[in-house]
Amino acid sequence: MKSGKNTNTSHKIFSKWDLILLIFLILGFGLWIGFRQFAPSAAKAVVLLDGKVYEVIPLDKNAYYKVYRGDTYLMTLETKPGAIRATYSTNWIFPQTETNQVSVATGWISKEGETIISVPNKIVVYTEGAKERTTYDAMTFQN
Amino acid sequence: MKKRNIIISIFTVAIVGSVVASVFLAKTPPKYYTRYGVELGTDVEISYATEKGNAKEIVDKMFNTFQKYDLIFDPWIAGSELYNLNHSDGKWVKVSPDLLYVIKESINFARITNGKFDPTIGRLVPLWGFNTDNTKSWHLPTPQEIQTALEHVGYKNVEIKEDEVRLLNGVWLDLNGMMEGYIDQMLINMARQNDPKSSGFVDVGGTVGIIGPKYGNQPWIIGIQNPRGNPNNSIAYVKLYSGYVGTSGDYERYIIVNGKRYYHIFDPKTGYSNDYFESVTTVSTESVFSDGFGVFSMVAGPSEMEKMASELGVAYYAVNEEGQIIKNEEWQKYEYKP
Repeated sequence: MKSGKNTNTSHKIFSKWDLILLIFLILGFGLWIGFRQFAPSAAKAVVLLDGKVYEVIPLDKNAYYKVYRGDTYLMTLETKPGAIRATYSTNWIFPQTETNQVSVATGWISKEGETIISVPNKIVVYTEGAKERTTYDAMTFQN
Repeated sequence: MKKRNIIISIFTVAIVGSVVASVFLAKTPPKYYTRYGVELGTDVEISYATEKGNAKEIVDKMFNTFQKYDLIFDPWIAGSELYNLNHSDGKWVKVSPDLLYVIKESINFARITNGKFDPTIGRLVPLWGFNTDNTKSWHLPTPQEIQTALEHVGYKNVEIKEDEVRLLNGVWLDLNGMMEGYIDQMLINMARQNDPKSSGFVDVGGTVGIIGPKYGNQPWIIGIQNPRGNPNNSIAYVKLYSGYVGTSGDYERYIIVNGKRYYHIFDPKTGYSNDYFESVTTVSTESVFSDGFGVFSMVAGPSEMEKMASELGVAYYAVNEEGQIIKNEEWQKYEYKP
């Protein structure tokens, strides 16, 4: 004798819509986590003077910035969207002379990992949040 | 129906919970703390990650040591240890372990290279004005001035007795040829003492030493500055899991007189720079050779460079004055082509 009990739906835990909802929930959560982890921030330049943060400059417009140690003018920086360069650098130790302008010769920097350095002025400029990164992690140069 | 909803809820919470756990508990790559600065008259970068303690605190401690090294190794700061030794009028002077180590290594390398590398060229440096950042003071000395300075050059005038050093015949030491590599090594020691499995690199004036592989198992990619390009323009790359890379060159402290380039690495026999190379980059497991070998090569030229590289087991990548690349077989181990 067969019982004739209908088993078609009573043991089905998920309906089609439950599954779709579940998948959307998981995908949404994953996207949210991914966005938080990997979303690029806007590009900016960090200017260090004597090892301390002097200014953080957003790289979102054409502008000029001057760097001073106290009242002493040291350097002019120019920005354009996504990039920064030094256009002039003095030498605070020997103010009557210019330096050999390595910082100016560096030109525009726009990639994460690139730097503008003025050793006589103890200024370091580097980018953060840039879209591209340099191929290298560090650079070896003459000592 | 009620039972079904409970099961769905439990199932959903379990899946979402496991996703959250996998995101937060999974082993994520270490996060590097990077600090830039200008120390010892050059630029410095340290990048460091550790699971023991705070990476920033360790890097800050490393940076705090530069003042100590300045007061030891800078021969042009009145009152520094090296300045006092150079002005000790031939008397025996007790020196610190740091200074003693670098003097010993420098004199040892001077012996090996038969004086092509010589740390006693100290009197030549201010003669050319290369001891200062004031570019207006960089100039070509007269032949007579150079001849007079050369009378006070010669590594055999350095005597070492336990922790004492005596400089004879008025020689002055300039230890720039090995100092940066040594300081790299000391900073790396600090990092590893904190955490032997820590990772990162130190870059003191372009001499880069590896604390540990990137993310624990990947190489660090180090660019070699194009000697005729700007400071962010690399001509080639090396990949390093450990060891040191350093460069000597003719492109930062130099003058051009009547079309000829004179730079800050002097041949101890003539008092002038030689024109074999624009730059020499060295990879070595020994910190002091990553600097010293390049200085030697700029003075000694290509044939002696090749011979010495085989003896020391170092890899080199040189750019000669015609812009041609010269590299040894050992270099292939480290070459990275993006």
